[in-house]
Amino acid sequence: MSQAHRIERLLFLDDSEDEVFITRLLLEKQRVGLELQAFATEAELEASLAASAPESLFRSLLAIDMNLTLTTGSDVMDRLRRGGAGFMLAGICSGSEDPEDRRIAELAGADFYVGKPLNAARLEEIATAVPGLATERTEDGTLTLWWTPAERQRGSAGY
Amino acid sequence: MTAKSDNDAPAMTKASPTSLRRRIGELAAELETTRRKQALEIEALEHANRALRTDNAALRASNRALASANEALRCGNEALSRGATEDGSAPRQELHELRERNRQLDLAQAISGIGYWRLDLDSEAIYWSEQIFHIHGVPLDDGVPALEDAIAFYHPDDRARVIANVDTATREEHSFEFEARLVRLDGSERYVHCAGQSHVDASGRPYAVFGVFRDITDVRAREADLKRTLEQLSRSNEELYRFSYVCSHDMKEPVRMIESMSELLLDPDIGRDEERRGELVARIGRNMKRLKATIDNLLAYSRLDAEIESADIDLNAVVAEVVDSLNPEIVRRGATIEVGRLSVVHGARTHFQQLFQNLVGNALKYSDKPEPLIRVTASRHAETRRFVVEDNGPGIPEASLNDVFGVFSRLRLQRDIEGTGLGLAICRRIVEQYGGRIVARRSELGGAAFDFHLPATGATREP
Repeated sequence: MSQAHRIERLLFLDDSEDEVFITRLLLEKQRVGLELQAFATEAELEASLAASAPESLFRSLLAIDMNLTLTTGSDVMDRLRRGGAGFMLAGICSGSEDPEDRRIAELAGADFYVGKPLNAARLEEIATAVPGLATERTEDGTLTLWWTPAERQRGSAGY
Repeated sequence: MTAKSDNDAPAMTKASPTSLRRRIGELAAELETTRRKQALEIEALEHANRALRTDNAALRASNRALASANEALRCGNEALSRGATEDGSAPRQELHELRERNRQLDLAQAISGIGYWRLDLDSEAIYWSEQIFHIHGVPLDDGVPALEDAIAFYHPDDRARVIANVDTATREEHSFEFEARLVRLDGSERYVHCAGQSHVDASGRPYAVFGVFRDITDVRAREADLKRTLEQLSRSNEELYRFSYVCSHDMKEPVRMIESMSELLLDPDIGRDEERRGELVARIGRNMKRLKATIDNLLAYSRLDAEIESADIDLNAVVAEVVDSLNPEIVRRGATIEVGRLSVVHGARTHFQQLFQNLVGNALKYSDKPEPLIRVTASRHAETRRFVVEDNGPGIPEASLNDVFGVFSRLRLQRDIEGTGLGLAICRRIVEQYGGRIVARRSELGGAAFDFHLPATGATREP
């Protein structure tokens, strides 16, 4: 039986400073136990992933904005899945919540598609959608995420 | 004896049995000729009926003509029958009607664009109806060409197909139907629909090939127009979909930000934190400003089609005004604006102000050089006037040269350079509205160049 990893980081690719600002405030206020690392461009994200130890990527959740200024979230997701970080827990988020965007995100290999802003409720939604991912409240009320990769791999046909 | 009896008078108007027989013989010959002609025309129109089953208007015309021909034939038969027993006045009347119906039949052929031809296999003689001459663009006086010359009228690419069909019909009982292009003597091309069949004798040997022609050039032209319109509509729908999508996103985002931030402001924990409260208020303000700019630009974009009074506009004056309005920023950036001699255009002044404001303003805004250089020039070409706005800035990546004109398309992050992504979309729409086109390319100055071409006729002239 695979070991469950606690998700420690939320990697967030979004070029809106306001969006990142709100997300940071909400995660803090709603006591979400994730460290937020934001990136404004695909290049910044790539550099960070390349510098990360592989095991740390098992403890990360990546959310990519669908409507980036210089590219689209689905294109980034597609490149990510074809690259070395194909195993990561990664999905698309969007402010427009367009059903067509959901379809495109799934085709690109996203594990989930959620609306913005990212907050505790959205993370619960992601946990429901992704096999092997679960949320838990600690005694002090902090929301934590746990991921069992084997279950995810059995449940996902995307890999 | 000079007086005539009452009985003698009618005898003077009566034909003698000999002359009556001669007259009846003449009538019979004339009616036989007419009957043969009518039979050919009926055959032609039966073919036409089949060929035009998708063209109701032409089909109706053919049916009318066919009915007319049948009626004429019936009258002719009656006249022939009566002519054998009555005096000549009744057949003359019938003949008059017959000629009138023939005239109507010719007219129906002309209206429906249908003609017919016949190839006699023994003599190799060809018959063309009048309409066939018209379709080929051959004067009636020139006479019917030889078979080889008739085939030569077909477009070289279609000729083999035509020959194959006719050739088969000369060898066996065969019917055919095809579309082909004719090249007229004046070089113009006509599209024709041809249907035909071989005529065989009792032994099954073909002795003639008969065919009908319909000029479908106009139909093909309408189809091509329709296809173009459909493609245009499809593009327009796609643009509309894209437009509504990006509108929903780019307008929803600042609204959503304002909503989220307002909710956070109302949160007691955050509300007590003065620094955070101040930051939230400032961000709400920036988002409201961005939303307003987006709405203003969308409004400008949507109003480009509105009827605005046109006049002759000296672009030298327009660009001078634009440069003047940008002067504070030009001074602040230490920029140089070079303007060549421009043309006079006919159009709405506000359009050209906006066009140059966006292009020169963008060049200034995106410049990454300590001494920005922006050049505006114009040149004359055979059918267009070309205008160029170029700079020594960072330029546009090759892969994005076409995308920059899209609605809400941006090449720089909002955090780096503010913008709505509508400026160049507006430029493209303005230029296209005047029948021109705009392209982006790399400038010899090192940065970006925007070339737009306007039609020389009517729209532009030298000052």
